[in-house]
Amino acid sequence: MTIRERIDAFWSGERPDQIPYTIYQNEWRHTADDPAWTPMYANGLGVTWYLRSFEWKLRDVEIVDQPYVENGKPMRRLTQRTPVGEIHATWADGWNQKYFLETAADYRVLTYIIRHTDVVPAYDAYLAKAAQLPPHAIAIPEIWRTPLQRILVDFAGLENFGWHLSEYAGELQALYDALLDNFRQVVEVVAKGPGRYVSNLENFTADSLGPRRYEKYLLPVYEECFPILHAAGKLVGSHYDGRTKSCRAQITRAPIDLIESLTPPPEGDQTLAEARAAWPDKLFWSNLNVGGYELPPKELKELVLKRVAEGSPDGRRFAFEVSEQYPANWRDSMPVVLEALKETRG
Amino acid sequence: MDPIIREIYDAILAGNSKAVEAKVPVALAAGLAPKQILEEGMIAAMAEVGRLFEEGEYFVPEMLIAARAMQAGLALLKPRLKEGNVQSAGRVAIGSVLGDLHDIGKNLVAMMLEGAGFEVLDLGTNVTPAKFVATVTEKDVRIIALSALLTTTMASMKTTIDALAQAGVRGKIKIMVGGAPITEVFARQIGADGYAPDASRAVALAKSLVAA
Repeated sequence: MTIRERIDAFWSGERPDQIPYTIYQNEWRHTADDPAWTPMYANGLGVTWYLRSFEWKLRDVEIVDQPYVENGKPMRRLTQRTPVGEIHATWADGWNQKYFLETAADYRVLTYIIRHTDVVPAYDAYLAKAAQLPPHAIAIPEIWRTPLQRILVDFAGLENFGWHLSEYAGELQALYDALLDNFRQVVEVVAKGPGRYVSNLENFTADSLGPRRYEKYLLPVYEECFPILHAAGKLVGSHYDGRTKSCRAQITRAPIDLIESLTPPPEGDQTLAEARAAWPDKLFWSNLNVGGYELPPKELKELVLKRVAEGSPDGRRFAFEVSEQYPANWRDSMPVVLEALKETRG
Repeated sequence: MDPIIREIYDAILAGNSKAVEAKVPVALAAGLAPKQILEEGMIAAMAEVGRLFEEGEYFVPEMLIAARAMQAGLALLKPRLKEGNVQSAGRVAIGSVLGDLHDIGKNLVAMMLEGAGFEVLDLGTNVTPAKFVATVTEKDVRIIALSALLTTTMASMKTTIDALAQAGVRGKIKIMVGGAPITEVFARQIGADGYAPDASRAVALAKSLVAA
């Protein structure tokens, strides 16, 4: 099987010839030209390419994206200006230094922006990009995040978010409502577009919300929107890269087909055996812990096979990936994983 | 428990900063000792927050707003604590190690330690071993708390501990480590004195380290 056929079998819940293994394009891209990758593609490694089949178009919003230097450090400031005010965020080395949402007024401006954001299809652009990808690439359309996760991850950051939940509850709800309307449009557009598997890049970790908020804010959105994608013949995977145990019962009920970026302890808090017992029918696209890549080859191989035994006793519904930290020793360790996976051939 | 202190305790548990700010002056005006307000109203409430977090009743947002409420009350109480010469549980210097720009976990631990009565020196993120050494040398610190979220930056924890040893100050302090990829085994391997898997258990660890 090619990696695309293998992934297709994985998505179908069928048994591929061996357990698939992929890496995120944004993790891999920094070293894409390194010839050390070539034998790994031949050995079955795939690269997942997240592409948008929709586009957000802003009305009455001016964007100013400004690089600058602060204390000798290169910084980026992104300002969004509207008739009701402006908001800005800053980054250093790609990390948020200041988030868009800090005051109640910021919420009102961002709500205006979201209410003035149209969702338009970008199917041709998606198909054109997908057609240009190499054979080891897997194109995946994405729907970005659900409303609360956008507020938490993209706009407020966890610390502001915790505070705003109580301090700016009304403003937060108004923004949430605007984002939900927008998310519904994204789902409608993506449902009619290309791609069999759709990624919800949720960036969820249970500690940041807890089961009650999951039940209130995430689950209803999944229950309303994901069946629209299902009706269009698509599968949905949610990027749950953190802890999941405290929301296990809620996740069981969520119409999520695939838990993507599932990571066992120590980064996550459920072993694959626990996750499989809780979610027997969900597909898992799972990370090996980055610490695992540091193991001697024999131990790394044993870890890979142990994880397969836990997560996929029958060789179905399971794949490995690198979606989080990029193993610094990838030249040495990732070929070991690929060799180990040959032993999963049925 | 005194009824006013109970109100402060409950307000912290609920993360109600405004109520804490309103009640602390009432408690002081009623003649309650600052030390009693701190220990029975605030530290006890934050200990309960930690317990509820460990039990899976509270999550990060609840912990954050409780810590903010505690800080609001502590700001009002601090001058009176100084006047009364009330000692902190110990001085802790905390930072994300060199190369690591993550700060949420570190900030949570700092807040919870402060909530437990420790004096916390937050050195920020991407902290060099030299800065940790200088802090120990200059600030009479009892505990160094090192945070790392990335396996690629975990090695900086060992570098920091080695630098403290080379500077001859390792014996003066206890070192605790934490962060998503850190384990008890790793903590032992690099010569740390303890490891905590979350902010709540970091408080218990810090208490045990200062008591040792």
